[in-house]
Amino acid sequence: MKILVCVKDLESSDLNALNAALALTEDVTVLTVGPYESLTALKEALARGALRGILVTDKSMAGSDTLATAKILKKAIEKAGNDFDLILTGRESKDSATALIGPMLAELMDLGQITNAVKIGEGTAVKEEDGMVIEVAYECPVLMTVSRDMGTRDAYDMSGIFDRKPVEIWDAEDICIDKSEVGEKGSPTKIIRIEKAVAKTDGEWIEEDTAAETADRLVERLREERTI
Amino acid sequence: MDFRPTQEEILTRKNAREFAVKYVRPLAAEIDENHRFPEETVEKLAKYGFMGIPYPGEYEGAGGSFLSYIITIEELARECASTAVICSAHVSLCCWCIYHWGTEEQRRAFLPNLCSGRKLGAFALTEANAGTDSAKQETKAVKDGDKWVLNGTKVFVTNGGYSDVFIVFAMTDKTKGNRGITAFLIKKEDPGLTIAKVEKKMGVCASSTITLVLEDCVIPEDRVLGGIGKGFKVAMTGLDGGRIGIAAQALGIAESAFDETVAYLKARRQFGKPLSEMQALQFEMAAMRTEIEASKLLVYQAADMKDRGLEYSMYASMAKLFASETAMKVTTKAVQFLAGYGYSKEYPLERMMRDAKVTEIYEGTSEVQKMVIASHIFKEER
Repeated sequence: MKILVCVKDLESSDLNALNAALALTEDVTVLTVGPYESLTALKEALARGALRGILVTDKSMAGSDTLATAKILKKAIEKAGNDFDLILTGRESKDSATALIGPMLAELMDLGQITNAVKIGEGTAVKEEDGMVIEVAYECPVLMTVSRDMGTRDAYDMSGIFDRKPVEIWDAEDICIDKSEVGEKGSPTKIIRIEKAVAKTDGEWIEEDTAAETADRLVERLREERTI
Repeated sequence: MDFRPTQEEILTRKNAREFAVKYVRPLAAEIDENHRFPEETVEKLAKYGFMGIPYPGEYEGAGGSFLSYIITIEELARECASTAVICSAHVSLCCWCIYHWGTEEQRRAFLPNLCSGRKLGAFALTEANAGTDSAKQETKAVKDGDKWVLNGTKVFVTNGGYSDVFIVFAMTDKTKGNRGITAFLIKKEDPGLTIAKVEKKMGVCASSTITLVLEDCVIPEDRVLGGIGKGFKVAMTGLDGGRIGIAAQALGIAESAFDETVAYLKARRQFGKPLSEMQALQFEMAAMRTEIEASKLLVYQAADMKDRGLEYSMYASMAKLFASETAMKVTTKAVQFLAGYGYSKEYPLERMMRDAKVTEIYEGTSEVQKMVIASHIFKEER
């Protein structure tokens, strides 16, 4: 079995996808699209046991949205041989967590897809959806997005770090993708503004024996909080 | 000059931390309390490739740099100083002497089992009357045909109770002083070996520290390590590298105590505000953080020099002197700042303070480090 795993950062469900792949076969390729710094995640994937690492990086790709990224991944997979039985991605990344890349890539590649897999067997996989556990049959090639609930995090053999397996580094030209299809130009998603969501804190219930006492206690609390 | 860690160093720290948090942290308080050697952790250290990081794959090491190994000791020590010294005594004292001084036959015979962690190593130099003055060895080795016969007593042998291989130093020619000492590779199953006493200690309580008695211990002549009369050099080679390991251990203890203190000062409110807003404490913390950073630079510099094949003996001593004294200072102040909670065994600070003390003592006291540094200063001036 030949598996390709798309990874962004190994702090997310991408690590679960990698571990799921390594549990199924030794022939694991890891693929990352991102800035040069993404090399660390790829090196870690190789240290954890993947055989082949590919980084696709190009200045023109900065600002790519999920669709543009999925297009880049498709082109890179074609260059990588396009002979994978299974393509795995984490369910969602740690930062934007859209959970879109996997399904988009499957559509672009015209592959069947199983989302949020919690268990991968031979010919069948188990996925979770809306609180339901669903066992589905699949035929290769197929794409699956892997849940964070699959497997557990663990350290790995230190010697993997020092094996010094090389990473293949490709740019837009290498994967034959038109620069107009990537980056901000190739991204239909336009982000107007990002701001931090403010989490609402629990309220505090004030109730004393009488309305007057309750009012006094309220004033006291507001003074403590320096609201008044 | 580049102070940025390499990809390998970043991954090493991340993996070592993941290991230490998962397997070392949960046991730290219990093994200290019960003075219990954590055999299960040593097995895990072996399984995850921590017992031979700076040695090549042909000897079943991980093939990493000495600096990467030093980073793992620092990370292990953040969670448990005992676990860190078990690894350090094995890797930098025992394995390094064999790797550096062993013949190819000796390397092949001993290193794969040690670097893979299937077997544990120890280093037996100190005697009741030969501590800092290590040239006063009373253990004797006498040649008898094609055998050597060793007699004597070694004290404070780290890992001793669980070791399979000991590097034992013995006098082969008393008239020659330092040049009359020879190093020997001794196996646990060799005849005449007894563990006479298990040391009860103030800190690093979960590491095994024993007295080793050799009584007519007969071994074949191919167990001489580094040549007859080269023992003192072998010992100094081991200790030079070992000191960087202990310095990293001290660094890890200091960092951990510091982090605990920062969290406490932020959370603890007295006189209507968090302790972290009190300038007297802020200034103390600022000074501590600076000293920890200085320790770190000294430790990494010494390890990097060793990796580059440069003369690093003085730098190893500086790193150990400064990092161990910083660890003692930081942990003592941390206990004071946390006051009752610092002194209580419910929190890890009192353990860290007890553990920090030994870093100023073993593998050469702070005074020995100053002797080494001074000898380099005045050697350079001549």
